[in-house]
Amino acid sequence: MHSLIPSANLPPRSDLDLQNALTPTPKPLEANPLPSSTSLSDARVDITRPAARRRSWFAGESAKFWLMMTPALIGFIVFSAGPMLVSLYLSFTKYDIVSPPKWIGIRNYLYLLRNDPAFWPSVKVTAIYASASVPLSLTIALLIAMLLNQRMVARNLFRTIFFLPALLPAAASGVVWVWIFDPTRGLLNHLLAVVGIPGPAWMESTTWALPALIIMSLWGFGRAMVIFLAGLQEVPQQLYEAAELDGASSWHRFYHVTLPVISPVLFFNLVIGIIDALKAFDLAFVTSTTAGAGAGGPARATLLYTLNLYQKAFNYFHMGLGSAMAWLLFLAILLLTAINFRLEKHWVHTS
Amino acid sequence: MTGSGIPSSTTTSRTSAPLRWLIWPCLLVGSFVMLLPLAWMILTSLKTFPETLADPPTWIPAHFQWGNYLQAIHGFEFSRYFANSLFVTVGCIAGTLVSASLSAYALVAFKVRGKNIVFGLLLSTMMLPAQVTVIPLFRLYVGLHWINTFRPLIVPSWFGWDVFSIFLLRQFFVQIPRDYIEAARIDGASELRILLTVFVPLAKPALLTVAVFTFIGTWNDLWNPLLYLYDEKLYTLPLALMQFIAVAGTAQGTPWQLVMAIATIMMIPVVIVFFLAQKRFIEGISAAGIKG
Amino acid sequence: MSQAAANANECDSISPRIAGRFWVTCLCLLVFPPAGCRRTSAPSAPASAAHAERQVTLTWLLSTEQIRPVTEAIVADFERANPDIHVQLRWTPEPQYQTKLKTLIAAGQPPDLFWCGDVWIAYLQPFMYDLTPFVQRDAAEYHLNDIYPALRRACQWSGRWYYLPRFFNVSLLYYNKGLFDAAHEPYPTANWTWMNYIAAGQRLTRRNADGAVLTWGSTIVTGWWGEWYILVRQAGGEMFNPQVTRCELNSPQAIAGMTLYADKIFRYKISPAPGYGPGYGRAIGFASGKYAMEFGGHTGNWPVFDAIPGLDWDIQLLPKGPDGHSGGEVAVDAVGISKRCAHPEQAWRLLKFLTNEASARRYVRAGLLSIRRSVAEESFRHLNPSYHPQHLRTAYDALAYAEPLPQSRDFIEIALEIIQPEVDRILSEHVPVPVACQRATEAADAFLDTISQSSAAIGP
Repeated sequence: MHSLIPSANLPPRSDLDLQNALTPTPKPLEANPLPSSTSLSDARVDITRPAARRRSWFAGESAKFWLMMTPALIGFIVFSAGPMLVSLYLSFTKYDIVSPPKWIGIRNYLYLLRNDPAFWPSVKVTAIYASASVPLSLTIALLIAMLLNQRMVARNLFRTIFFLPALLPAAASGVVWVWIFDPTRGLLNHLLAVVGIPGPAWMESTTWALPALIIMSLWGFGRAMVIFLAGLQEVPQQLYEAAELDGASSWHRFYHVTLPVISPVLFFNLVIGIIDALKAFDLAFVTSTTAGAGAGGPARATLLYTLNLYQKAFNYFHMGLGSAMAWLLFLAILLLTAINFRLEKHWVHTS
Repeated sequence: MTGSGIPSSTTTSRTSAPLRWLIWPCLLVGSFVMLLPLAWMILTSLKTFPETLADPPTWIPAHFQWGNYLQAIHGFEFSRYFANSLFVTVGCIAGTLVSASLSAYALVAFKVRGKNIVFGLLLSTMMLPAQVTVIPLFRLYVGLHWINTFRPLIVPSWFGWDVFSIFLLRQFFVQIPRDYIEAARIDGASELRILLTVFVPLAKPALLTVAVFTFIGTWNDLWNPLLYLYDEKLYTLPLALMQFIAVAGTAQGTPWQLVMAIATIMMIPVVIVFFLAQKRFIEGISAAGIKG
Repeated sequence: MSQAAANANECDSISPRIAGRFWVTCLCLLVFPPAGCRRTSAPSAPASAAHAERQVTLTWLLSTEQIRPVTEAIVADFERANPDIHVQLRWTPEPQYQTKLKTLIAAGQPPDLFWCGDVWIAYLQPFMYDLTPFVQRDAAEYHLNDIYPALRRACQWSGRWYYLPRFFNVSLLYYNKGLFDAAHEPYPTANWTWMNYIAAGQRLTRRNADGAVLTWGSTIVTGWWGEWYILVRQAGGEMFNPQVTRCELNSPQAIAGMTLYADKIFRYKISPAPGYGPGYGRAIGFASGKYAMEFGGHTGNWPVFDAIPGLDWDIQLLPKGPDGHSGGEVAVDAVGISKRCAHPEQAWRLLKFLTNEASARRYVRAGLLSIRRSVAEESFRHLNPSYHPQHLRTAYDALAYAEPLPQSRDFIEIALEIIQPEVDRILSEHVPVPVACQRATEAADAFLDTISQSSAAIGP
C-alpha cells in the first residue's frame, strides 16, 4: 500500500494555493506538518486529531465553496439571471419590438391558456414528442453503449460511427431526412415496401409527421451514448468477476452491478433528455421548412412548443406573448426536474 | 477499497458466447443505418447541380465532381474562417473546462447550506428557451461594447455559462469517494490541489466528454456568431457557410452539392477530434488506474 | 490500495506547474482578451482625418443574395459619386435575417437601411422612416412615373411611402416546352381559362402501364397561401373584407377557388398529393422536368431553370378564373430607412441611387426584372433567341393583373397560423372543402374578435 498523498511530495506553500491563501482558514500543514509516513489508511482512522482543527476546516468550507463558485455565480448573475428577469418582465407586457413594452399584467398568460388556437396543439405535440423520444433514445443509447463497451475489434471505429449523426450540421441533416422520409422515393418507404408494408406520406401526413420527427430525433442518441460510455468506464471489473463467480445472470449483473454505478449518468441523461426534448426546435424547424409543409405543418402536426414560441416572438412580433410562453415552459420543466431530483435519492447511487 | 465505484484497470465487460454472436449483426446493421445520412451527404457533395435535383434521386454520381470541393474552398476565405472557428472553439473549451470543473467540485466537495439552491439556480438557466433571452443578452453586450468581437462567444464560457457541463462533471465527481477528499484535506492539500490531483485524473473521461461536446457545440454554432458578428473578417465557419450558400443560390435553388461539400469539410475536424478523444477515454482510465 | 491514490501520488509532482500555467493563462485571457477579441473598427475609406470627420457612414442590413456582387458594384458606384457617404453592407443569411433585424431594432442598434418586402411592412411600418416628403420633392428628377404603377402601389402603406423596390416577383404560368411538344399540345395563351389549364394538364399527365405517373400536368404549392389565395381571388372570392375585420373564406366564390385547388389533386389528378411529386422537399419541382406547367412560380428561380440542361421553358399569364381575371401576386424586393436613422437625407440619396435607371440596368443584366418601364423596354430589344423566357414581356404584362396583399398587420399570422392548418387538412385528411373553409373562417373570426378588443394581449 502506498500512501495517498505523501506529505514529503507536497510543496510547502505553492503559489497557486489560492484557496488557502485567500481564506482565513488556518493551514494545518504548516502548523503541524504531517510525518512523511502518514498513509491513507492511517489518515482515515486517525480520528484522534484535535477536534478544534476539524471544526476550523469546516468553518472554512463555506467560504471556499463560495470562492470556487464565484466565476459561475458572476456568470449566472450577469449572463443568465439578468436576461431571464428581463424576459420575465416582458412576459407581463405587450411588446412588439418596434415600440416600447406596455404593462398588461397576466393577460398574455390568459390569452395563451384560453384563446390562442396554437397553444394547446403545440403542448400536445411536444408532450408526445418528449414522452416517446426520451425513453426510446435513452434505451438505445444505453444498449449501444454497453455493446460498444465490450472487448472487440474496431471498437473505436464503431463508437465514432454511432456518434456521427450527432455531428452533422442541422442544415445538412435536414435535407437528408427529408429525402429518407420522401413518400415515393424515400429510402424508408422502399425498405417498408420490401417487407410488404405500404409506407405513409410521413412529413406530409398529419398522422405520421410527428412519428417521423421522433424517429429522426433517435439518430441523435450519440450524445447520451458517449456519456453512458464514460460512465461505464467506472464499473469495476472486479465486481463483474465476483458476480460471475456467484453465477449471476447477465440481467442480474446489469441490474445489480452496472446500473448502480452508472445511475448518476443515467440520471443526468434523463434530466437533460427531458429538458432538451421539451425545448426541441432545430430539427422541426429545418425539416418542416425543407419539406413542402410550412414550419410546424402539416396542420400543426409538428408544431413543437418552442417553434410556436419562436414564430410568435420573431415572426409576428409578439415578444411579450413569446416570453410568457417561455416562462410557462420554464415552470413545466422546473416541475419535472424537481420531481426527478426528488426521486433521485431512491435510485441514484452516490458514494 | 474495491467495490466503491473506482475505475479499475480494465473496464470492459465480458459477455456470454451466444450474446457475443448477436453483437456483430446488431452493430453492422446499426452502423449502416447511422452512416446513411453521412453517405448521402458525401455522395451529394460529389454530384453536379442537375444531379442533385434528379428524380428519382441517384445514390452514386455519374462522375465524381471533386472540383466541388475546390469550388467550395475557393468560394470563400476558408483558412480565415477556419482560424476564427478554431480560436473561438479553443477559448470556449478552455473556459468551460476551468469554470465547470471548479463549480462541479465545489458542488460535490463541500457541505454548505444553500449548495442545492445554487445548483438549482444554475440548472434553471437551462430551462428557459434561449429564444426569449436573445434580445436582453444582445442589449447587455451592446452595453459592454462586445458587439462584433469574439467576446460574447467566449467570455461567458469562462463564467460557468455551460451548465450542462457543470452538471455532467458533478455527476462524475459524486462518484469519487468522499474519503479521498477528507484524506487529502487532512494531509493539508488545498482544495484546488485536490481538484487537480484527485478529481481531474479520475474524471478524465468526463472532462474529455465535456471538451468534445463543447467542441461540437461551438464548432457548429450558427446563431451566436450570426447575432454578434457583422464584420465578415470575424465570421466563423458555419456563418460563412450560410453566407456562401445564400450567395451561390436562392432559397429555392440551393446548390446542395456545394453545401454538402462544405458541410463535409466542416465535419472532418470534429470527427478527428472525437475519434482521438474517445480513444483517450480508455487510455485516460488505464493511466489513472495503475494499481498501487 | 486504490488507483486514485496512486494517481494522485503520480500527478502530485507535475500538477503545480500545469496548474500554474493554467491559472496564468486564465488570468491573461480575462485581462488581455486576445487580439481577435478586440473591437474591430469599422472599415472606412482611408482618407484624411478631416475628410473622415465629414464622412457619414450608413449601415445597410441585407439578406445575402445570389446577386451580391451586383449590389456591391452599385454601392461602389454610389460611394464614388458621393464621397461624403460610406456604406457599410451587413450581409445576413436569409433564414436568419428577420431574427437579426428584430434583435438589432430591439437592442436600439438598428441599421440605417434594411430590406423589407411588402409582407413585413405591416409589422415594421412603425419603425420605418416616412419617405413621402422625399418622394414628393424628388418625383420629377427621380422619374418616379417610370416605375410600374403596380410596384408604386406595393410600396405604399395607407397612402404613405416607406420603401423603394429594387426588383420584383410576379405570379406567372410557367410551361415546359419539351413536354408540350412531345404531347403535341399547343402552348398556353393569354386567353386561357381554368378549363383550358385543367384540360391541358390532364392530357399532359402521363402514366406508365402500372398507373404510376411519369409526368404531371402541373405543380401545386402547398404549406402556405401562395397558390390557393390566387385561386380564391380568381374565383371572385377574398380572404378578408376590405377592413380586415372579418374572414370571408366561407363565401361561395372563395369555396369555388379552394375547390379547384383540391380538385387539381383529387378530381383532375393533374398535380401530385403533397410529398408525392417529383423533386423532393422544397427543391423546385418544375426544375425536375417532370411537370408540364407551374402555377405561380417565382422569377427568382429563373437562374435555376437555366442551370438545368435541356430544360426549355417559357412563361404565360395565369389562366383566368370564373371571375374573368388572371390575378396573381406581386412582391417587391425593397429597401427602407429606419426611423432612427441619423442621416435620412444621405440614406434617401442611396435609396434613389439603388432604384435609378443605371441600377435597374445592372439588375436586369443579372437576370432580374426591372422596376422601371424604360429599362424593361430596353431589355426587350436585346433579347437573343437563346434567352429564357422568350416571352419576357409577359412578366411585365402580368403586373397589370396582379393584386396587392391585404394591408393588415395580422394578415400573415392569420393566413399562415390559423387558416393554413385547415387548408392542410383538405389535402392530408380529405376534409371537404366547404367544411374546411367554414372552420378556417370561424377560427380567423375568433382571432380577429380577440385582437379587436383594446385590452387584448395581441393586436394593435
